[in-house]
Amino acid sequence: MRGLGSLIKMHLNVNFGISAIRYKYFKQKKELWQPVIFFIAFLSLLPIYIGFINLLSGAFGTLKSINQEGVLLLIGILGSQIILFIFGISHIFSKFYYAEDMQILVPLPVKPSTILTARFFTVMINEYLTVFPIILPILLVYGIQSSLSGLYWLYCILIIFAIPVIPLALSTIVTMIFMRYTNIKGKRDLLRVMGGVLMVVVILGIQIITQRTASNIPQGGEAEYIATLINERNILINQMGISFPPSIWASNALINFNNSSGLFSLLTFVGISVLIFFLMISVSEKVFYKGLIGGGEVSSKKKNLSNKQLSRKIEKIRHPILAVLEKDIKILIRTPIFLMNSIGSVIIIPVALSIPLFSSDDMILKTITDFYTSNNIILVNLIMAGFIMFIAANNGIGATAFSREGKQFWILRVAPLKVEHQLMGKILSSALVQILALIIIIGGASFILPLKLSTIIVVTILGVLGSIPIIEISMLIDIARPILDWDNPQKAVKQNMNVLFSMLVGIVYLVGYTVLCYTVIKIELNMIASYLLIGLIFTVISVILFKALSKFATKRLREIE
Amino acid sequence: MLKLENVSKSYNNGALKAVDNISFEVNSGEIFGFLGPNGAGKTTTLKMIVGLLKQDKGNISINGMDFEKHSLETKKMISYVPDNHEVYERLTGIEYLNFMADMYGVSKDERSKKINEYLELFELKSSATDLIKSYSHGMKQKIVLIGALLNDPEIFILDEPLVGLDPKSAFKLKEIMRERCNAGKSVFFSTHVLEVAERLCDRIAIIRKGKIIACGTMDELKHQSKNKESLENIFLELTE
Repeated sequence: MRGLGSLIKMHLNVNFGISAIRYKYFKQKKELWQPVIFFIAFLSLLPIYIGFINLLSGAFGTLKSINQEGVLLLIGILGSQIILFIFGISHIFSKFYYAEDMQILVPLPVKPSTILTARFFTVMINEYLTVFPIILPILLVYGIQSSLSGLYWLYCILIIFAIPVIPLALSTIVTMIFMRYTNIKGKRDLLRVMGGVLMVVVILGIQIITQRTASNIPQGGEAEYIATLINERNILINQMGISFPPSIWASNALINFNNSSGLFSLLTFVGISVLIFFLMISVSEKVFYKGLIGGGEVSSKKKNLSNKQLSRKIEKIRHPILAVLEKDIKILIRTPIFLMNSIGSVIIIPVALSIPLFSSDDMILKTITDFYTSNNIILVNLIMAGFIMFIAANNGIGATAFSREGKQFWILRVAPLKVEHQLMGKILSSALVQILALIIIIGGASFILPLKLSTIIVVTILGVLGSIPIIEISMLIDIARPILDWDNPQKAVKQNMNVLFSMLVGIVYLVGYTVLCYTVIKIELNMIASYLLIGLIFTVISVILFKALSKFATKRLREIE
Repeated sequence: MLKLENVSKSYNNGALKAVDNISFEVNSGEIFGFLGPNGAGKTTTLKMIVGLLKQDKGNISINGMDFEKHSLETKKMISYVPDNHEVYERLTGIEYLNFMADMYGVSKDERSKKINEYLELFELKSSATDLIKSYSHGMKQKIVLIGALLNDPEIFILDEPLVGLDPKSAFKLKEIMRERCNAGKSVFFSTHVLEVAERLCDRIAIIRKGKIIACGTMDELKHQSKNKESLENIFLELTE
């Protein structure tokens, strides 16, 4: 493992931009307002976070009353590990296989497993940032409310550090094998992205099936079931954690920290983590480079075109809006990391959110079907349209509209292109992806219940109209601090805080939308008038935001250095 | 045609003066060479001219039009080839050229004629439908060059255009530059290759630590220097 230390140090430096931050804020003393805004944004999250902790305390009390308080730990650990596993796949895809700096690392006299280990640690540290906010309050609430001793906290520290190992090592193994066998010429990128998205969907599917099998309560045996729950302390853990047993070991270690069963669980958890880590290392020696080398190659046909063939490829003059739109969509689809993170998430988010529907019994589905009557149709339509907007806030396409341009941004800035046209092209490309979200959501919903034509029309129009302000706000955020200096497309999308900021603003926007819908329903406006009113409000907001965006973008396009 | 008046640009809150109060003019029908050691402020100056950087002070005008006030009109008259050749790698060569032609509003007939002519000239025709990602460094440079020539710019601005080009393509580019000047248009480029500047340029400016230290025709520069044999000697003497 020669050079591992330097590799980890270099990766962490590049990954978190430590030298770059130091240079920008301390030496150049440029754009110092950015860290201030960051700080304010994080502060503004505090109330939501305090709410989350209060919710956890409440849940602890309820669970304790049925003797199942350990479930709280299980939910935290299982939830973190599932998130790590799913997000890990796309992270590993981009960090291990699509990072430009691999071209520098591969020729170095270092073993593939050393490079992989260094990358693995970087991904792990990155993922801690995702997982800490979820797991820390849970461990704290459990420990404090049960007034536990020092040993519990020691176990906590060990478990927190080990949490990402199993899911990330497993996703690395799966990804390495997948990439090894998809490293074939032709449509490699598309195959890999589609395969990656499918992999996540399949894993979610397996989760659903295992959960469903495990939580099935025999008909008529409900009373008996509840009695068992109350009598046998924390029995629910084994039922719920069945889809990912390491979460059972970790929870058990914490619940029984003061006896041998807990110690045994801890040793199992840590031991299996170490074992899977080394399994990953040994697999990497055999398959990592086979999937990596040649992966970035692009085939060139070198086809000798006749003048006639060439002139067929030369297009008629197009409006700049359409030219920008087409270019944006082509680059989005043809860059695997962009495709996976934007369009991939448009597919994965609805699937992930529909898990509760399928993992519980058929009651929820039946309730939904019964609810879809002419009395409630307006509510269902508005909720579905809201879901489309939720996707717009989460897919990060608007929030990376400028960041994705990267070092090529000079082209649009030098071209004699009206700022409004450029913005219009980019808004349309985001809106186009929303249409895909629409197809998936309406298509998926049709499986559950036969949708009325009016629902399809209303959801389409309001969903798209309502998404435009979110796209515009996201673009405002992105143009304020675009991430242009990247060598790995991942930095433009996954490691871009603009995506997180626009998600937060998106939440506020959706809260506003909910208030609007509530008011419209409360005042019992005629259905058509309600839709028209909401549509009109969206249009007015879109126009106002577009004007603000044009003004701000004109200024920023001139300033960015 | 292109005029810079008292233009300054500094970084690190004024601590580092990249360009310090420079003024010069590029006339119609002239090739203007911009020379200077590494880090002298050449790229910064070029970027200010094309609108990628905003000057702290001074005016830049093209054909009498102020760049700040008439940015769209002035951008239509110029085109720019940067030194790094960053270009949309996920587009094919022909898609990129169509995109650039759309940006500059070049008609189908005009773009067809130009794309054919330049692809042939730079021997890129067989790679035109391949993704730019598959191109070599030099090929990327050539596709950016072609993209910048489609709008038949009044002022052709190039940053180190000859670095990375094979001798044949470099020769062709120099011919294009000369032809453009003969047609009354201007070329403004930065270079390190002093022989090229000496043979090709009608006028030359030498920049050092952000200041123009010499500007004029070769003859005029020779008068300013003790060592008058070659541009190399003049350059070394002035930039010491």
